[in-house]
Formats: sequence, C-alpha cells, structure tokens
Amino acid sequence: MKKFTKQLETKASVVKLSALERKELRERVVSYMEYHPLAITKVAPKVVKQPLLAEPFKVVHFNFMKGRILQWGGVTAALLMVVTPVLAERAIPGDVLYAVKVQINEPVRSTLAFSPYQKVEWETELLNRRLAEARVLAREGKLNGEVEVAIATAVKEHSENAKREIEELRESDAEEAALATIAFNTTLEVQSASLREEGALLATAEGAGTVTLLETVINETLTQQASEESNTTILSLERLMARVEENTTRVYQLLESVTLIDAETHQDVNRRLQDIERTVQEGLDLREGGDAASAPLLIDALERSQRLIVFLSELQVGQSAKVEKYVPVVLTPEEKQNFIEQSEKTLAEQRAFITSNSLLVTDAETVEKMQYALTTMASLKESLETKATFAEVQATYEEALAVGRDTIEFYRSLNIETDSSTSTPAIPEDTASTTDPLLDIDVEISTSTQLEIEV
Amino acid sequence: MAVAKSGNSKETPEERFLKAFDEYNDALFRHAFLRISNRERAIDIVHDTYTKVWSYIRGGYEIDNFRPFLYKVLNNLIIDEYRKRKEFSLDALLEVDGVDEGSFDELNESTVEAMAATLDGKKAFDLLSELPEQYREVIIYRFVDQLGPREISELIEESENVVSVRIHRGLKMLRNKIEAGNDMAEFRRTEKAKK
Repeated sequence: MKKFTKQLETKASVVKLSALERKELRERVVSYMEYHPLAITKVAPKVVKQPLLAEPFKVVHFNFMKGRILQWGGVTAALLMVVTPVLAERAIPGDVLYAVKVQINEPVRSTLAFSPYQKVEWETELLNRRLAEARVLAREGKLNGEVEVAIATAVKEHSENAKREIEELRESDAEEAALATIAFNTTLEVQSASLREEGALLATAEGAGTVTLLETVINETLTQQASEESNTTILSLERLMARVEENTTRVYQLLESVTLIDAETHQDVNRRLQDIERTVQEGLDLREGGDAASAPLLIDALERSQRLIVFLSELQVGQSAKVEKYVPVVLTPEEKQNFIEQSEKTLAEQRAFITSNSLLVTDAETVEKMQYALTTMASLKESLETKATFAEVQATYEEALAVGRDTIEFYRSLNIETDSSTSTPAIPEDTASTTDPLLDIDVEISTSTQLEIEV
Repeated sequence: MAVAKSGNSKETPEERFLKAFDEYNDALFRHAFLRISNRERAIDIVHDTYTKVWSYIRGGYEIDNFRPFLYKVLNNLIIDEYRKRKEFSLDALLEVDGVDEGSFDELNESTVEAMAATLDGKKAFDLLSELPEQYREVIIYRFVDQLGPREISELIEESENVVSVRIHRGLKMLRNKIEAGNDMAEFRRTEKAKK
C-alpha cells in the first residue's frame, strides 16, 4: 500500500501548474476579487456633526455630492485650501468664514510655533486678534453680551496658555521667560489702556459698558502678572537685541501685509521704527557702563516694538487707530533741543506778557493770581534741573506752558486793555531771577497739586 | 484530512482567501486535470472554483476550513463539466444505478490496502484515465488527494460504503488492466521471439 501510494503520488506530482500558469491564475483570481470586493458589512460609525464652537460662531457644513466633488475637484480644492483661508483671515465673529479662521487657519499656523517663546508669541497674537475683533464688533454695534462672553473666554484661554508657556519656559530658560513676559505684559498693558479708553468713549455713546467684561479679564490677568513679576532676571544685551530685531522684522512684515494702511500711518510707523533703532543705538553706546545701564533702554525699545506689533495687528482686522496712542513719538536729540528752545522762548514770552500786564491790573485778587502763575512757572523751570529723563523735562515744560497759557486766557477774559507790548520778549531771561524771592515762598508745595487747584 | 484550522482573527478575509489559493491551487488543478484530462479546462475550473468560493465569502459565509469547501465546489464544477460532455454523464448515470451495496471484502479497508500493495503505482497512474468516471473519481480522491472514505462520501454525496466499494472495484479494474498490459507485453515479447 505504501509503495503503491508513493508511486502514484510521485507520478501525480508531475501533474501541476507551471509557474507561469499559476501566476496567471492567481492574477485572474485576484482581479476577480478586486472587481467583486467584499461588501462593507460593518456600518461606519455615524459622525456626529456638532458645532465646533459655542453659539455665536457659525459652523458651515459643506455638503458636496460625490460626483460633483470629482468633477469640480480641482476648483473645490483650490477654493477650500487657498481662497477660503485667505478670505477668512479678516473674518470677525458672526462672519461665515470666522469658523475657518478660528478652526483651521489658526491651528494650522500654531503648528509653526516650535519654541516656547514662539508659542507665547502666538498666544499673545491670538489674544490680540480676539480683542481686535471685539473692537470691530463694538464699533459696528454688534457686540452683544453673548459674543462678548465668548470672546472673553477665548481671551482668557489664550492668556492662560501664554502664562503656562511662560511658566514652562521659566524652568528651562529664565531669561527667555523674562523676555516673553515683557512682550506679553506690554500687550496686556496696551490692550487694557485702549479698552479703558474705549469703554469711556462708548459709555458716552449708545453701547454703554460693552467692553467692560473684556477690560476686566485683561486687567485681572495684568494684575496677576504684575504680582508674579517680582523675580527679575538680568537680561543679557545680546538676547534683548535679538528680540528687538525680531520684533522690528515682524513689524516690517506686518507693514507689508496690511493693505489698508494709509500713507500717513505708514510714515508714522516708520518714524516709530526709527525711534526704536535710535534707542537701541543709545543703549549700545551705553554699553561701557555695563549691561545694567543699557538694558532699560533696550527693554524700552522692546516694549515699543511690541506695541507697534499690537497696533499693526489691530489694523489687520480693520481697526483704525492712531499710532501715537500706542507708541508715542520719541524725539531725536535735535528735536529735543528744538523743543527745549521753543519751549523756553514761548515761556519767556508768556512771562513777559503776564509780568507787564499784571501792572495794569488793579484788582488785588487778579494780581495775586497772576503773581502766583509766575511763581509756579518759575518753580517748574527751576525743577527742570532735577529731571533725569527727557520725558520728565518735556512734561514739566508742557505744564509750565499750560499755566502760562491759562493765565493769559484768564487775563484776556477780564477784558482789560492789554499792554501793547504783549508778545515782546522785552523782559528777557533774567527776569526769572527777579522772581526768585517769590519762588522761595512756595517751595515746599507740590507743583502739580497746586496746578490742579489753580487751573 | 487536515485538521480544521481555526481562522486567525487578525487576518482579513482577503488574506485568508489568498492563502488558501496558494496552498491548494496545485492540488485542485491536479485533481481537475486527472478527472477531465484537459489542461486548459482544468485551469479554468480551478479558477471558477476560487471565484465561486470568493462569492460565498462575499455573501457572508464564514469559511472555517477551506480544503473541503474547495474540493466540494471543484467536484460540482467537474460534474457540470461532464454534463456538458454528454457521453460521460450518460455513462455515469447508468453506472450509478447499478451500484450495489458490495461484499464484505469490498467494504474492508484492509483488503483495499492489501490489494493496493500488490499494484504498481506508476502503471496504475497511467491507466487512471481508462477507468470509468465514478471509479476514477474515488481513486483520485483516495490516492492522489489522500482523502479518507468519509470525506470522499461527503464530497460525492454517496454513502461511505459506496465509496469503499468503488475504491475496491476501481483498484481491481486497475489490477486487471495492469495484468492485461503485462499479458500484452508478454504476448508481444513472445511474438517477437517467434519471429
């Protein structure tokens, strides 16, 4: 039996498919399988479509027919992938494309933020965007309670994200964290200030107190930040420089990308950029005095560049504002000199006017007032010596000039015939010295409080 | 007969099916070829066998063990093939009618083995095509495909007894043919010697 079977088997084993036949047969079978695929027995889990965000945001569902999507595939893809995101960039809550902006554009962009600093930056940017949107809505009178709450929530989330990133960063790189904090805090300060201003503005108009919630959120974060800021890290100049550089680059980029910018604003922003560069240069000149001397200047430059970024981000969403509000002009040394000279001149004229005219007045009270004004102006001028920064000097001059202006106006309102030598600087600088004895009387009285009472 | 392989749950139905193809295509082809003696048709029948089985799978059947299933389908297709060639089907019908229950000897597996032991396998293989279909069928199943009588009985839908009887008789026929062949060869040799 064994033998028989074996013999038969050996004979039979000759009968088999050739390699080619087997290959062909397999291909036939496989192609049959491909043309008759298994029916998908398992029902695919139904995707529950739910709004991606809270109520105020519209979610758009695109229902394309299968045939259509193939037929118009290219066009649809272009529309979805290029045109829509670009259009969505300028969307505000309530717009159809807002969902695209928040759900697609921003998450995609956020993947580009690799380093923790960039993440903080990006969260800050998002925070700015939300606030800018809120402002546009408020201006258009579309900011109702619901939308505001949604935006406030988003703002809170972004600021918390930023703070968390900063905390994480602090563990690995304290210096970087300090830089991030500066950038973040500056933004918060700017936003807080402009929200306050707007709140006041809107309070007079119809939509009273609409931005208050946002303001509260921002201020809350700001105070928290301030309390945490106590641990100051000494920043190296190189890193500060690098950061300023980065920020200014970003400003230039934004300047390019914002299309709705008018020539005047463009010029203004350029002026601010020049200011920043000058400040950086000043900081570098001070370098011999050690990092500690130049760091504040660079931090100032950094803050200003950050403010410019905030300003330009606002412009991007269609917010119109003046640069001056965000970043005041910093004068060049020549301009400073000019300002001082001009102020001196005007001040001298004012004093000459007041001095000469006070002689014509008989009313004791008026005379006293005018004498007092002269004294104040003199004391302010005196105090200039003690002022360390130009900003203080500037403020002092402005105060003194305001006193002079007000006094002159007051005098004119009395309808007394004015001395013909009104504007003559007949009595030169040295008259100041004549009033010196008067100055001693009020020396201990704070000038500012006095001014408030007086003016 | 191989032990039923429990399907690996990790494999997709497609993978399992193709595995069965790779494993059994030669055996099925061999069987088909020995039964119908036409290489091209045999390949087609094997192809049809697999596509039919695939259709079953698509229909939702879970095939635990491919081998008997494939053989069953193949067998049905071969029968269809015979029906197309009328001469075969008529013979088969006549023969099937005349099958009796068989004697004790014919039903005893050991006598089958004993008889097989006396046969020359090589010669038997060459003579297979000369056997009537129903004997050839069981002989191929039994000795080429190595199926047991029960499996064969399930495939051809006959009782195990019938299968045993057919195997027995088939072998007897083969032996007669071999002997006849031997006699013929002997006769030729003697004729040659006479000349």
